[in-house]
Amino acid sequence: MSKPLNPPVPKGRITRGTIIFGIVGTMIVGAYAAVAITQWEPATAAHDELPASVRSSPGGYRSYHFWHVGYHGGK
Amino acid sequence: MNVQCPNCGAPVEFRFDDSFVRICGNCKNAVVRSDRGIESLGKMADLAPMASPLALFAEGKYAGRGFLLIGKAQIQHSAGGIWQEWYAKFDDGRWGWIAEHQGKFSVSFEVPNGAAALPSANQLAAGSRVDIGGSTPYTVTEFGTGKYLGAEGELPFRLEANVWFLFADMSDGTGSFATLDYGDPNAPQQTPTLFAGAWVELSALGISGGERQPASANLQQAKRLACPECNGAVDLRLPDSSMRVVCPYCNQLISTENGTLALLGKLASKAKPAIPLGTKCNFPQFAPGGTDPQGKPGTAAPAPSPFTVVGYQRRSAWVDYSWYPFHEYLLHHADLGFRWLVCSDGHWSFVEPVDTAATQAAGTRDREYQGVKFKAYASCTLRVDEVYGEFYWRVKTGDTSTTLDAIAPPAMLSRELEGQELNTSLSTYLSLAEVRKATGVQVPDTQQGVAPNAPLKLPHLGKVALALFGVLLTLGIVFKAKANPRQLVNQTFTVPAGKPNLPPPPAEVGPVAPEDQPGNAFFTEPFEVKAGQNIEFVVGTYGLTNSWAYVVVDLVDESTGTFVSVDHEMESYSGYEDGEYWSEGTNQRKRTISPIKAGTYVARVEAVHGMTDNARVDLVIRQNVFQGAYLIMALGFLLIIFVILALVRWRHDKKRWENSGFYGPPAASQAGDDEDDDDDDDGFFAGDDDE
Repeated sequence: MSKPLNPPVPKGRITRGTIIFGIVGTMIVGAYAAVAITQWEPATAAHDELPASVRSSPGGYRSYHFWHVGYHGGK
Repeated sequence: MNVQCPNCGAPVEFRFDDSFVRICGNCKNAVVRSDRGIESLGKMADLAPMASPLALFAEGKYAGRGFLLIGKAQIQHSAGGIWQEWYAKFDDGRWGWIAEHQGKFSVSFEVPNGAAALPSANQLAAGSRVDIGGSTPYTVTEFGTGKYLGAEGELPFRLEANVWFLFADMSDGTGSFATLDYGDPNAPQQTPTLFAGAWVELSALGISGGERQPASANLQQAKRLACPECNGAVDLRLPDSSMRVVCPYCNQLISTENGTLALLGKLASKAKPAIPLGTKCNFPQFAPGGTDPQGKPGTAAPAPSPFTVVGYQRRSAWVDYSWYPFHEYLLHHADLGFRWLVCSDGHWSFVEPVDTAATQAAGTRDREYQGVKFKAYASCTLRVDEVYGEFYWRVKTGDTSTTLDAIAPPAMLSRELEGQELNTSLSTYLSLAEVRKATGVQVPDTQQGVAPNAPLKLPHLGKVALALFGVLLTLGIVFKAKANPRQLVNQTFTVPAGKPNLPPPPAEVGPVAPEDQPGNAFFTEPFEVKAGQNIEFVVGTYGLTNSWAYVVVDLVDESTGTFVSVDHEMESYSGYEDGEYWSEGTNQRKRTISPIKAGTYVARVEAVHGMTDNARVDLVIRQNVFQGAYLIMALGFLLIIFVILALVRWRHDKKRWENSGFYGPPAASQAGDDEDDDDDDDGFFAGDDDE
């Protein structure tokens, strides 16, 4: 059997640029999916330990933020 | 039935009752039998040696019927070319015509009293659409004249040598083929004889046997001739097909018709093709047994045979009131016949013939082929400037034709009209590296601009982007639907007025006497925190006016005492300046943290503010909150990259179309005059499909 009488229309071959776009795009989609599934947040929260003895005594200690940064008004 | 040749008396055998003419094997006279007896139609010329895989008395099959080839004739086209027709006697008694068209084959049968009214000759032109009674109209691909030169064997009609006849070859684009025979061109029959059939591949005919061995043993052999002008050696690679050859020494254009060499004149300039004649080119993707450009496996022979460069012509296209040269290399392939390798502005394309009827008009100028829309790119006049090598038609410098190019990169569909012959071809873009590899010649890199059929920059960008956006949005919708936020705390606290006189942090954490407690720290009721779910804090100090507030929320794990701490700063100021109201800041903050360990938690809230009255602090804590901001960020990143790439692609395409336009041919005597002939070709291109 020989080639068909009418040649097929050649199709554009996928190029490196499109492949890279596909990879980067997939990474973005993947990153979003990972963040959404794990519900990970970039915001950091300070961690510490509060003894059970003061948990019924709200003023028994200064919160971490009051100790270390605090905020006393902007103006 | 055996008779005696009326010319030489040699015995002549008619093997079939319904054959009319038998060529006398002795004297080459055409012997016809009729009611009046046996007579001679005159002497037939000797057949020109032409390579063919068919042979007299070869057997084959078509549409389930066996046939025997019992006659053949050679027909000369008015343009000089010669083709062969074979006459096949089928098992069912029918006569069939098998014609060879430069590597292609058609089988047709006479259709007596066709169903449709056939057009008269004056209603036809190349490109006309003809209804012969089938479901699809046929397109006239050639409307020309021919004459029988010679014949062999037994023929089913009254063949008269050297008598011109008018014919129209047609096809319907789906593989069907038909010919209308009008007889004498000077007095064409009002109702032509219709022959209808189909294009076939040689392998489908299952040819076997015959008086000569078909296939490779029969291929034409190259010849070396002496130039009649300078006696230099002139190579004829295709002596059976070539009609013109150029002497490489004295640049004389030589006719090779009828086996004799005749000088036609010295060419003005000597061509210098970048690819030497005789070069073998390996384009497996375009040859039987190769792979196509999409990488699909080809068919047949495992090692595709090469193409050979047999001719070269430099042509020019009349574009934008100037002639722009381009280079065409005529390639020959043992199985496929002729193909072209074209170089324009340093961009290369491989060109294959296409059945004109397989293309359809798509709008005014656009075309459609195999379901792909080709956008009209340019219509212009082409002129032959230089020729070199050998050609299967009567080429000469100064020949002109009209063409319409339509593109669907990396393909280009070209319809070229020369006289009453309409040819369509499909060009496939080749990179310089592909050409160098295929030819083995280090052709120079002279690329300029963007070729009409240059591959798209970033092809399938839209599809990839659409897929990515689609997946991203789908994920967003799914996650939004799954989020189902759960409220852990919704509580209001009243924080005493004034800035508390906060004691320094105690040296040791421990119980504080009630009177020492500052009154700005609170605990909520215990609540359950689930694992794997984010936690959102919404803190509002409503009524905050021209002041500030600072709220810290600690989530304390009751079982371990460990906590996470999140602080919120708020300030809200407003006023009038120069009569204009202004405001800044906010009285609400929202923060979200990653999931923490599951367990029972309380929230410790500690707040300070700068107001003179007590402040109301509202706290809402929720879990499993959908974060739309991240979806928007992801969409934004994707969109930015897509827009940049789309701009790159748009710029590339803009360059591609910079050279597009429709320009009519200049008058032969005033090439270069600023005349606008935009509409000159409309009758040819726009109206030929009757759409």
